Amino acid sequence: MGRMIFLIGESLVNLRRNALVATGAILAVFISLTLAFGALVVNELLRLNTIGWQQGTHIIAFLKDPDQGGLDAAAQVTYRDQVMAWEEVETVHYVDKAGAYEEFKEIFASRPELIEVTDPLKLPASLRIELASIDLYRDVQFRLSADPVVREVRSFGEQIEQLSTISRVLNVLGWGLSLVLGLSAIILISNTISLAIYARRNEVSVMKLVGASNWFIRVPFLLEGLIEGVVGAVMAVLTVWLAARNLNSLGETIQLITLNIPARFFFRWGVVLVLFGATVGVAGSLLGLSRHLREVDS
Amino acid sequence: MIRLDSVTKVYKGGTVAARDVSLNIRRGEFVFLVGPSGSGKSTLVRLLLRQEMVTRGTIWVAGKDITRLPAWKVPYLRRSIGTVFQDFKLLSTKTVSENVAFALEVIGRPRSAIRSQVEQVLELVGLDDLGGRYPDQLSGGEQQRVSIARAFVNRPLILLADEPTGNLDPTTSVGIMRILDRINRSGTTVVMATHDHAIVNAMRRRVVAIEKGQVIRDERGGGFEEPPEPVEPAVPHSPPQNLPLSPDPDKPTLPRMDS
Ligand SMILES: Nc1ncnc2c1ncn2[C@@H]1O[C@H](COP(=O)(O)OP(=O)(O)OP(=O)(O)O)[C@@H](O)[C@H]1O
Ligand SMILES: [Mg+2]
Repeated sequence: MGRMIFLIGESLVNLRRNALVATGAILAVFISLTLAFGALVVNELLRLNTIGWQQGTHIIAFLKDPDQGGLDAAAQVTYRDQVMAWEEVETVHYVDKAGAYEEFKEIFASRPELIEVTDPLKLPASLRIELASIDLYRDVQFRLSADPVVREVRSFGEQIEQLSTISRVLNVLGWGLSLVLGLSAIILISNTISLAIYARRNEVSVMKLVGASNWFIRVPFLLEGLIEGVVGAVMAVLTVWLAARNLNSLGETIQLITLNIPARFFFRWGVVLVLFGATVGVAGSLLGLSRHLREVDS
Repeated sequence: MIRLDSVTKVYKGGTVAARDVSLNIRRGEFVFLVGPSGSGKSTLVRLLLRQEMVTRGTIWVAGKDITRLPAWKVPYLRRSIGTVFQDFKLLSTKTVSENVAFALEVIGRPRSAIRSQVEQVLELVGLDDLGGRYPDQLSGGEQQRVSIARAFVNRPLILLADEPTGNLDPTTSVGIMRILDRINRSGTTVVMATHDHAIVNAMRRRVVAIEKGQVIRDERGGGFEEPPEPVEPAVPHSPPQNLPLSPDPDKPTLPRMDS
């Protein structure tokens, strides 16, 4: 217990002695992990929005009313079952005219004047189609458009494709940058450790002389690197979390997309990132120790 | 306590600093290692501390073959050996007490034990009043006493001193020798490398003379004559009774253990 306090005290002294370089190392960890975590969060947002696009709907087929040459309500349900049997289609949800009006009222709840002038009977019934794979949207869209009972087909396929391209680019950029910065963070941390060893070379050589065990000599330096890595990581997690929360409150005014990432996501990845920061810190320390500790007598 | 069996040390550059050295030092002995500069005295000290590895031969310390000691056990070897050097190696950011306590802290001694042990050893070296001072507020002799206190605070079996009086004037050296003698009387084996003829001659202890890495003389109660070609021509050859060690020739300040 007293031993642990002694070791932690020693590493805090180290940190204070080269505060500037330590700050640099912490910032490197912070920036690298902020980028990585930011990329993760944006990705998650894209995923949530592509998967949950309008409650999982990839294609909406608005159906003609019977008086326009379309099917009656019962036949529309049968038609739903036919579409559902297509192999590209995962599920189909049928929204009848009454349902469409309910939805309309919900969406425009804040604009009663619009609801007032809208005739409930004007709104068409529709099929909300979720595809087995987004890549298949063109075929399905084409087939539905060709069907005379369908008034209009709307597909989110293009947007979805664009989003997944963006997501891929973000992935590569985010992880690439954070990898490069992560490596430089390791090198920066190893530099702070080298400096700390240099600043304490007299202490270290006395410690060796009086028989301090190797781990006892190393632990303060390892702790120093660990603290730098963890502090940087915690700062990164907090920053991205706060940014995402602000984005979320902003998102409440934009109705079409969701900016709400579950807390579970932050917690899970937060833990992973802090562990990662700790690993970066310890790796940097070990690098610094392996480069310099031998030089201080033996 | 210490046994060297045909120890040879060849440094990387090819310098042979120890050549087939065999030596047996018993528990409680006081041994001077003497010899000209570059003869290999410090090398033997470093070999005993495992700061250097032997090239050939075996070294036994307290019954253990330290040449075959795994690296992680070396700290435990060093805990049984106190070390004192010419340059004191004190930490300038710590007080006298803290310097001495440091040696116990870093080997994980409990705080309560450290306090009393530090007090005791500072008393032993006569620095009980100066515990709060920093090394740069002390004379050279006082600094060396701090360093001896640090070496001895853990009550090691062996005390290695490499030219402990090398930076000190003769009068101050006497004080240091008196402390080393006191430590030796408590049962600790003391090995001291030195150039100082006066001290060696006055103490009349075992003298191991080394030249070019070889033991050329090993005498109990020996003296230290100057070599035919003196390394330090400025040092006059002086008979023991004229030594500046003792202000009063009738009352030698250096205790003897010949009896
Ligand atoms: N690390 C080293 N690498 C190479 N040669 C060394 C090394 N250390 C010492 N030597 C050489 O080994 C020889 C013995 O050196 P050592 O330091 O043991 O002498 P010494 O008797 O202690 O001398 P002094 O009285 O001047 O302190 C010298 O020739 C020295 O140059
Ligand atoms: Mg020497």
